Amino acid sequence: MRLRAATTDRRRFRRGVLQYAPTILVMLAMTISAPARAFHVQDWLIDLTQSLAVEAHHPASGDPDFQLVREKLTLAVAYDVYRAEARLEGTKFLGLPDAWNGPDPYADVLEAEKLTVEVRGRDTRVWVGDFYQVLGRGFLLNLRKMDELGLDTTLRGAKATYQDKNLSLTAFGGFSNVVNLDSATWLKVSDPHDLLTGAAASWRFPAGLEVGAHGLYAHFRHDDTPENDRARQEAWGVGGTFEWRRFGLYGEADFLSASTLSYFVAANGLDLDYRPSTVDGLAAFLSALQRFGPVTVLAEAKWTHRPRLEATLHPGESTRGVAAIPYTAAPTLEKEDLRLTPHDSALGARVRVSVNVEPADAILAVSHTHFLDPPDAPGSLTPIDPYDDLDRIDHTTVSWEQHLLEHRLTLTGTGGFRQEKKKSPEPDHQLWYAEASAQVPVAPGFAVDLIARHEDFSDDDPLLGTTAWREGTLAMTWTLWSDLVVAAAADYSTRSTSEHTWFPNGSVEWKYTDSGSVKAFGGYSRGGLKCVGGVCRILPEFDGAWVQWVERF
Amino acid sequence: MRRHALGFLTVLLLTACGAAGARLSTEAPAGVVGLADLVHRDVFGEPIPRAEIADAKVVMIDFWATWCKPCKAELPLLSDLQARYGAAGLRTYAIALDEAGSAAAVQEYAESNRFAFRVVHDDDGSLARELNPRLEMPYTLLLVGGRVVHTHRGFSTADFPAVEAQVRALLETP
Repeated sequence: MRLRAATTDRRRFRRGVLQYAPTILVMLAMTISAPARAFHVQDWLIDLTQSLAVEAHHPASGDPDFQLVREKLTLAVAYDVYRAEARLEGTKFLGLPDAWNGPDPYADVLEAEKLTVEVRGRDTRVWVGDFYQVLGRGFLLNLRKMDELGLDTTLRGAKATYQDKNLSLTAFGGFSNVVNLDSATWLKVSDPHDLLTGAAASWRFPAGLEVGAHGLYAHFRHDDTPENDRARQEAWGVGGTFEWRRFGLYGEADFLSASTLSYFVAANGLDLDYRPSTVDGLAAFLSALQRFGPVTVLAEAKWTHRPRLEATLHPGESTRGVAAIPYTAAPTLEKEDLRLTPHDSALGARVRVSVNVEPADAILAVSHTHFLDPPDAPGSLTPIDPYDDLDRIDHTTVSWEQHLLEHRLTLTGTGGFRQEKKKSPEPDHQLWYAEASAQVPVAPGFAVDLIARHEDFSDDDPLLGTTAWREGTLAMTWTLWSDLVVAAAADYSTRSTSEHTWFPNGSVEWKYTDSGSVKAFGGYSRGGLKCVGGVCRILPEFDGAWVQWVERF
Repeated sequence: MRRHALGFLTVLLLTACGAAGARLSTEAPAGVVGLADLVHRDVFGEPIPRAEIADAKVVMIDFWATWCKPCKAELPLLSDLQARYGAAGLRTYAIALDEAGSAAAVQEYAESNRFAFRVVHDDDGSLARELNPRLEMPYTLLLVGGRVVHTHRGFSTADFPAVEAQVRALLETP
């Protein structure tokens, strides 16, 4: 993402706007002129959702400013037991200088991202085209949409399910299909086209105990590309589950074997040497949930040893900064929205106790997670893991949720401490955090939401000393006349890698119907690591403005 | 020509839909949802009978997640609505969009709060794909006869009287 030119070519931007203005205007006019309801005759249904965004970016990297127009159009047609869906995504960059130094950053993209035909019977469903798939709790396979991270990976192929009162069967196979424009880097990402096939079966016994098994086979493309750090050639995995929800019990065990191209330090001690090898992954997970009067206790334990699978990248893409796209995710046993690097290898447990304080209409929850240095598993040859030198992790969280005014006023407070001890001489990491939020009704149609969050980080390095930084968010949102939402917020970060300390921003959203809205945003927002459900990505800082119009017909 | 591909295709699709709309009735509300085909069990493994959904006069679906603060502020209010209007024919399903790995956390939150409605975990995203493809949350839908008649994106205590008024009006409609 390097540009030869150093300043914005405004003439080119104006020319671009003029060039595309008629098209955009026609699009708007056509859409607005369409009837503002789904089209429904007898058993036919046509459902159209569109999202049009115009964005102006001022990159923190020092690259010239640029603008873009993004359109996402989803068309779903249903008739009787048939349903078809197509999602078209297009992005057009504007205002870019003529000369570029990189291969294809900011490349315009127009793709039919998702295409699916579905047939639904009483007990069976069949998909042809794009579909999501999860096996167990995601240790072996977890393909689903994660908007917050810009991830939306499907398999393009076929899938069939059968489900009756006791038996559940699934079989699937397809080639991986990712979102082709990475909104974190604006790099074009080619579909990996890794082949993933698998099956799952479960049987429910009369007492409610459900026992299942699943299997996965994957054949990876681009297996001769050393730049894929752990370029896999093929992988297979099997797993078993049991679930007895009546007693709150769930257990899962998985085994994964992947033949890879791993790198090692060569004999001369300087170069890297690539050799084929086999990496085995293991995962075991157990959770139990019980209620004792007003007290609910959740206990979870897991042992994982590198069961992670990622998409292989096309030649040249990883060197351009395309991030690995995960096929798997595992239970974190920690607070979900904290920005914590997920472990490949971990042995740990969490106990969470919630108390329903009924007289006060409140819930108090205390949670503690403890991780140990996991024992080595056989067949492990991959040399790099950020948690390899882990001694232990301790993470304690306390939260209070208070409802007042017949549940119309909610106050929440959370505080926690997380310590990650490494074996010397690696630095230890510490994190203190606190957050509070309130949803306050002011009058019918009017309300104020307040959120404050603070995180205090420190790295204690035995050689370099202590490095500390603070990050957080203050946000206030006003709802006016029910349909208008005005928000003002400020992120802050004292981390030395940030150019700014404060990142103020504001937004206005008008919900003009149940299904339509226009939202405008302007200002800065902090980038950095963002995690959802055990999957993390590093997102860039944002400096600029955007307007988004969403309508579901 | 390539430059205009996005615009042309978009216009083509919109034109096709506009033309279709001119021929088709626009009186019917959006969305025919085979909810019973999509929801089989709640988060505690209890089967959800088809009749429970089919017999409901109004079905309310709310998308939430354990890490979503406004969602968690809204759920007790939805629970109140279910408690007050359940006898009149309201059935509420709170669909958790948490990842598969967070199933235990979803169960724990539902267990400790003892909501008056059923909680369902959409661990593979199949419900969201049909009803909430943009993964908005909180996102509340009101359905009558399997058709979506009202939707609410986001949550504010200011909005909630309007939601209750819509539920009441739908339940009172003969």
